[in-house]
Amino acid sequence: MEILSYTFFQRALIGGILISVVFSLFSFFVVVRKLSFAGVGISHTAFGGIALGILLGINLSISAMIFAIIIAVFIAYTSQKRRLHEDAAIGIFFSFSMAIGIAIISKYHRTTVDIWSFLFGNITTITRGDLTFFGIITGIVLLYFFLFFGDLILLAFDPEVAQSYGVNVKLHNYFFMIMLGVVVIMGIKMVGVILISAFLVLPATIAFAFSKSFVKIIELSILFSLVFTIAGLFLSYYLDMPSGATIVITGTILFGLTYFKR
Amino acid sequence: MSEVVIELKNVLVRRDGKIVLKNVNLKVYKNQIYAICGPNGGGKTTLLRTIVGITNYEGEVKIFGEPPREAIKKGVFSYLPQRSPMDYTFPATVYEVVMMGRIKKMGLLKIPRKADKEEVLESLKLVNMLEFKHKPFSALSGGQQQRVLIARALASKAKILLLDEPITGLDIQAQLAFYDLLKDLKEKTDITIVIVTHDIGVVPTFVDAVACLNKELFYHGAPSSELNMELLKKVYGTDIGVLVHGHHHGDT
Ligand SMILES: Nc1ncnc2c1ncn2[C@@H]1O[C@H](COP(=O)(O)OP(=O)(O)O)[C@@H](O)[C@H]1O
Ligand SMILES: [Mg+2]
Repeated sequence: MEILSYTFFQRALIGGILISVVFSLFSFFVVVRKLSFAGVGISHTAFGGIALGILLGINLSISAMIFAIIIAVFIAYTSQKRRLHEDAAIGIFFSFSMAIGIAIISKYHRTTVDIWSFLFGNITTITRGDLTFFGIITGIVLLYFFLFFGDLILLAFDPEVAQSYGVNVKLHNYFFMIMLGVVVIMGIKMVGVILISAFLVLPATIAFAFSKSFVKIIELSILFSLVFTIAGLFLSYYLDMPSGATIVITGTILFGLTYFKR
Repeated sequence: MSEVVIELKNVLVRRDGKIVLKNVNLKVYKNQIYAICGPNGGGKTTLLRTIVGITNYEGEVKIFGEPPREAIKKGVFSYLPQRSPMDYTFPATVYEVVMMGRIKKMGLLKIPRKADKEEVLESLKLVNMLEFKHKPFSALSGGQQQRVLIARALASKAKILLLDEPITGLDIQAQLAFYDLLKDLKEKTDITIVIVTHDIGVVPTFVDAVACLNKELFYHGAPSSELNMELLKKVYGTDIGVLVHGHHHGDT
């Protein structure tokens, strides 16, 4: 396996493993709380942030993250207020943000920027710095789940009782969405704005077929996510296909194979 | 009299600008079982939510002498809501559901310890659901799910147990077993229990006090005393039958 000796591939593997673990943890909660559209909204909104970052010449991950966090807070806010239907709010906001992104990029187009890679991901662009950044985010996410796993489970299962135990529903909703906004940035590097919801939805959905215990489902989500991400990376190299798309296709095939098990 | 555990003074609650509770005065003493009945929409659920501090109110609410929002931090409440807002299809085993009741007792990392595991199994045994511990919660019948949720409430070992229409969905046998369980809890521990009964049907004789709620609270006293038909007419707006049934076992 000479491929393993390439630096870019090693980085892609490490990145893929970190992303699999992080996204699988979120995947369970995103699926049971029916937040996949929120995930789509956040990632697409980040595109506006990327464009703005290009325009202002600042770090694209930072500008994308700021946009992602803003929409995340906004989604959590609308879901509390109920003045506007949450889905409608997300739909409006994310297409607006993408439209702005496209407008900016068409005006200030610089040949050095590869829009394609933001939309569909590109593992070859993962740098050492990116990996450090991913590592830090992974650490924060793991700490978050270690500390609040019980609260998050109870909130998803039975919010009324969670409140009676003193769990702060509002604060947790904001915090969860903000964390989601942060991790989405990791996924954009790997599979891009458009394909990221696969990472949020597939792991838990595949795992649901195998257990009715949330502890087991989460363990299995991580396992399945690692399987399709790593397999997808190898396939993309050997088949000479884009990495993001190959990972998503591999994951979806895994979902298809397990679908009839349920 | 023993210590006052729950005290409400002149409590008023609005929902969407409409007054749902008013002039509510209530005192529940330690180790009492306090039953609240009343018509649908009378505010029973709202009253329980006020006690646990998850609804806004005017007036004074004291739990062990503190406002609910302080008391809640100490894990004094074990609240079993009325069926509805939760996700009954959530993927969790019976064991996992009951373990959620231990969340306040676990350490920072919320990893179950031996004591937590024992408490969960003990609570499942009390509601006669031990053999189902590895079954998916979503696959149980409504009555079985209710028993598991009761076990979760018991597993939390909180000082105050608040039950909103807990026997709904249970068959007669399970209802009687549940009442025995409450009676046992009262005798063996110093727990304080507030129980909302969805109708005026059965209020067991071991209950210490009954109150009827229809926006205002009408205190009725111990169930063994004579019924005030005028009072019930006021609460329900019509003539009704017997409020209090003697418990089985021929103990009355
Ligand atoms: N979330 C809510 N928003 C607005 N009004 C509510 C809400 N919940 C309850 N109410 C109103 O409060 C009143 C009391 O309801 P509730 O406490 O559920 O009564 P009960 O439990 O006795 O049936 C009802 O008139 C109901 O319409
Ligand atoms: Mg009610």
